[in-house]
Amino acid sequence: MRFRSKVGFAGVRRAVCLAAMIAACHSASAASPSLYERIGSERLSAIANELVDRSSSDPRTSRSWRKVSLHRVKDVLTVYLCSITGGPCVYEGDTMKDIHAGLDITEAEMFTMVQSLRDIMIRHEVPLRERNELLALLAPSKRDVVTK
Amino acid sequence: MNGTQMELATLAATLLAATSASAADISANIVDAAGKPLREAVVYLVPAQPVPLAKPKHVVIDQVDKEFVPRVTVVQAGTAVDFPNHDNIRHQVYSFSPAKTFELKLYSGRPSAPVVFDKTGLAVLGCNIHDNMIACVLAVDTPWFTQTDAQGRARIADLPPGKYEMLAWHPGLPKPISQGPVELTGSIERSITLATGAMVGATTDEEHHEHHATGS
Repeated sequence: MRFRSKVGFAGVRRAVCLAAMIAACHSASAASPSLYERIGSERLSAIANELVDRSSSDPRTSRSWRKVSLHRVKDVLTVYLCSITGGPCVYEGDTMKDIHAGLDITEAEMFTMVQSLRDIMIRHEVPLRERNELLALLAPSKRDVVTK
Repeated sequence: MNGTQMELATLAATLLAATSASAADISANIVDAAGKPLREAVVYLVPAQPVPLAKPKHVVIDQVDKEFVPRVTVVQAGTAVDFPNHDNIRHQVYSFSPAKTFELKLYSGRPSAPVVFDKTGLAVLGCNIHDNMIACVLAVDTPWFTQTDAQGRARIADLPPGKYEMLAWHPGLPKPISQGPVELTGSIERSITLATGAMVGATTDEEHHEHHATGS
């Protein structure tokens, strides 16, 4: 009986310990702000706007932007970036594949745009960690964007 | 031959005379208020008495280099219009016009269902993705319509002789303008002046911005 109660005590202690750890974990995740919060909504939309302006005017990437309604892309891209970085937005636009289909985007064009995004983020003083996180979130769409 | 037979024979003769009468045709010259020939203007003749009409054929409005081709289309109401998208990139065609309200998403390599313009009236088409893409579709209640060439000339041939109302329209006008009744026999020529403005549906950048900011 004593033995069992001792085991029981130890078990309770372990359980309490585990509960405390889970609680600590939870509070850590709740406290850690999303990439969206760390970059900030205003800075994120400024980055989206500048990326559209720069890509559509840079002779290395302007080809696929010809006649495109830039203000609309700015709005849609802002919502897209907000949604993938853990912000409150719900992106209901077309898939990356549908958006870029038929545009024959080359790897060189995509890399130029990635470089522009990197430069714009640096100018907006987005820290290295956040820059890399955003680029990592966007990287998988390369297979849907680059078709040539 | 009794009375009824006599009447039938007279009727047959009248019908024969009517159908054997040579078809009429009408030529029109359309100019703007300054007297300059108007291209892309539309002329059509609505018969005074409704006549049974054949089901209209499909019509095509293509998307080429981020423009609608053609920019102005006249169809008989009930016509199905195909949007084949030779651009092979994404377009989002829309119309807010009461005559035909629709949204049609066109994707690369994916055929789309045709849009039936079932009511008469003017539909102004745009593309969400490409601001400058604008087209007009005027659906009319007659198969007898045509558009002017670069010299502002239009001709409709093989019209059944009879009474019609002639109407004319240009993309710079919000709706067609009646040119009054015409009685067609043989060849007729008309001169029409239309005081046109900017193409309907063409908006300023600011207006577009507002529309997209609130509408998306």
